Amino acid sequence: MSLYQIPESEIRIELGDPVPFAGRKRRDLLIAAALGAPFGTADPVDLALLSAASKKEDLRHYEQTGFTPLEPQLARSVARVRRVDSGEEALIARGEVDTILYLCHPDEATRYRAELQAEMQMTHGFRALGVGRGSIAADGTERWEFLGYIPVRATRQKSRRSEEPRDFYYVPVWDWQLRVLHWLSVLLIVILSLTGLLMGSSRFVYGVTDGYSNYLSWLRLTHFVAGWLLLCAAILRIAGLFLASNRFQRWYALFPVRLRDLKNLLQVAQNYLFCRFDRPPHYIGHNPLQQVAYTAIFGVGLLALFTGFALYALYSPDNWFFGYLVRFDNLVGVQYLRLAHQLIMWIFLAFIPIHVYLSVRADTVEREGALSSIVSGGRWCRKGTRFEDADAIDD
Amino acid sequence: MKDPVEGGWSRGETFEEFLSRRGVSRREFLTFCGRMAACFAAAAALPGGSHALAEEMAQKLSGARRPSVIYLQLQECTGCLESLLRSGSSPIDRLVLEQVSLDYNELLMAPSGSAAEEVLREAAAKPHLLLVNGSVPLGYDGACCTIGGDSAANILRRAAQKADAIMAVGACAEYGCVQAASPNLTGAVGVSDVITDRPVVNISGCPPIAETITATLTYYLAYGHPPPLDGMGRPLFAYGQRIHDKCPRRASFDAGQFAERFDDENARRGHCLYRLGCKGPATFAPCATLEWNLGQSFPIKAGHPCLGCTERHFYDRMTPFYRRLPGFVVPGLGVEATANTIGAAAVVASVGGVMVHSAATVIAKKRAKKAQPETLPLAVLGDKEKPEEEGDKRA
Repeated sequence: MSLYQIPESEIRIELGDPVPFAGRKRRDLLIAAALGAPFGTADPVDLALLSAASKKEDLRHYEQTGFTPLEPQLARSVARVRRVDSGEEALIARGEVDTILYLCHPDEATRYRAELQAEMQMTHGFRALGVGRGSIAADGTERWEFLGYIPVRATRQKSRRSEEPRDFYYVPVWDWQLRVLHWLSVLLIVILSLTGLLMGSSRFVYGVTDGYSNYLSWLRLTHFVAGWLLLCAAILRIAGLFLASNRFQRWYALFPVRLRDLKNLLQVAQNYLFCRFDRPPHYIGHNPLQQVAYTAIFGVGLLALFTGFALYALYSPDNWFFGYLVRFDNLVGVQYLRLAHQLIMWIFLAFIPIHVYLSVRADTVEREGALSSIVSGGRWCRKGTRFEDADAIDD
Repeated sequence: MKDPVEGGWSRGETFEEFLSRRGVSRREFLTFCGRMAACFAAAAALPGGSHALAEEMAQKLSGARRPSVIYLQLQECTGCLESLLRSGSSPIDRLVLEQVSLDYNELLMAPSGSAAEEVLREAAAKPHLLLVNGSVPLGYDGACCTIGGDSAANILRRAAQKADAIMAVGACAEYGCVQAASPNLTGAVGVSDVITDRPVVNISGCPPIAETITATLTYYLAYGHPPPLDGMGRPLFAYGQRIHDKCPRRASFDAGQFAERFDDENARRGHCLYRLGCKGPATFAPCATLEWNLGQSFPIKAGHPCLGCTERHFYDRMTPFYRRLPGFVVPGLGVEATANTIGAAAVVASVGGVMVHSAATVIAKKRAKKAQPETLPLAVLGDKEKPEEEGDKRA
């Protein structure tokens, strides 16, 4: 069940297994139910029946010669159908089970069973569409026979890919380079935070080092190496912003500043805050709120690198490059830089739960595989969904 | 060596002549030069080693002529001069001090009153070397520090007019030190903020090590120009080295062995004082190599964390002195929270937010499910668009 309201156009029809009566086959029942639909119908149930029946038999063998639409009093519609090759004509009635039963006068046992079963279907959220077939005798009298019923349910619930795989198509979103950088950065940030915390507090180290060891040196070495690698990752990512051919990864993707994006940002924010329940706008890449958060975290990461290397520079102020960083140290004060560096780490650590949660939530609530896209690189898009950033995707 | 006989370094006499007249042997002189050279070479890493440097220096110093020195004491505590007086580690130092002394110095000179003013006027009219202790208060039109009825800023400007070189001795003269710390009530600034058109050598520290002062003077006497300076105008030979890198407790830092309190077992074992707020890793000074009071000790060696007094604005930026990082007061709570407390709180808040939001999502989904009928109205069964009607029909 979706949290967000799905627009009218996205109604979803589920057909249960047809329940034939009087020794009929399911196939016949389904075909009869489809033939009972008015010609040129737009009703979703009719369309679902027709599409299901067309897999069983070529419906072009039949021709509709007349249709009596459903009347409120009678609660049944009757179609007159002729088989093209044999010229045989038949009437097909559809409606509530009891109405069709009333029309067909089957024996007591059939009637009882059909009514009971139709009631049972309703407890499962389905409703029974009764189908009756009437043959026309030569003298014009009609003989009706109860064929059975088909359980039908209409919802606005989205299907899952496991249920209806053909409703989805695959869109590659993230290049492998970007995914590698993402997971490398995750690893490095975890290492950096861990070693940073240990170095800063020295609490956990305590007691481990009885006598001589290089414990803190190893921590520092790990921290510095990870810092350099993170710098490399950052440089590659920044280069990718300008070199990547993937438009979701280029620099303009970082800044959702078009008016439409800003409106959507507001809407997504309201959706997240439970202020509105209509469906949020769909994006193949990031939605504007997501993107703003990610762009901000990029900035925070760069700040972490900058403050980190400004502190690192203290070991060699003579170096032509580190000299500039040391000047920055003197401008701000080394201790405040340390403080900032540590607070930035906490920003990351506070970001991670929210980030992971929202990704998982997007996967479970919207069911479009945004989470898996950072692993596999692509995501499944529901057919017919309009994406705000889909102009370059052809489906 | 005999005690110095009367008779200072007269003008026209070279330094070597003077020294031999005073009974300083060539060997003693070279030993001094060697020590000074070692001091210079400590950070400068000049090629050829300190021996060649000592020879060169002896040569140059031998030919030096006696300079006239004005040693101003402005808004300060006389601690720097106290430190300088303790430079008596060898007779040579004492002689240099005596000779570099001092046409004018408030603390040490014999004259007083208008006689002293007269001396200053005369000395300032001739080429001289200007040493300054203390900051220059610019607030209240300089009323916070006046000597002989004139403001410190005016005295400094006059004395600097004909000075060959200007040395700001001590943190006060460099940038204002304690009195310039927030909120800086007297508007105290350093010498280089008043004398903006001339290079000023900053001999940093609160106070500086005596040998740093004498070494800078010696360098100037020997070469006729100030030593190479770092970005903060401090002589590189002294301030190009980080205390942390030459600290005798560095091994226990690398091993992760820290004193947690001043009286715990680790403190007694002489472990690293980092956790007690030692600012050695951020402080550039020769304390760990030269040490204080005739090379006797220095704070870290004596079991006290470095306060970072050679770094600018250390009262604002290196405080709290006994904590590793600055903390800040959370408004309303009055609690001093550290970065880690705040960071951990942010992470807890983020995890809590995620949990609340996921709970809200589940509730919203449940409500959405409840609000939505199990099946939408079906036109094929004669339902109208409104779900209420469908409910009636079913009943």
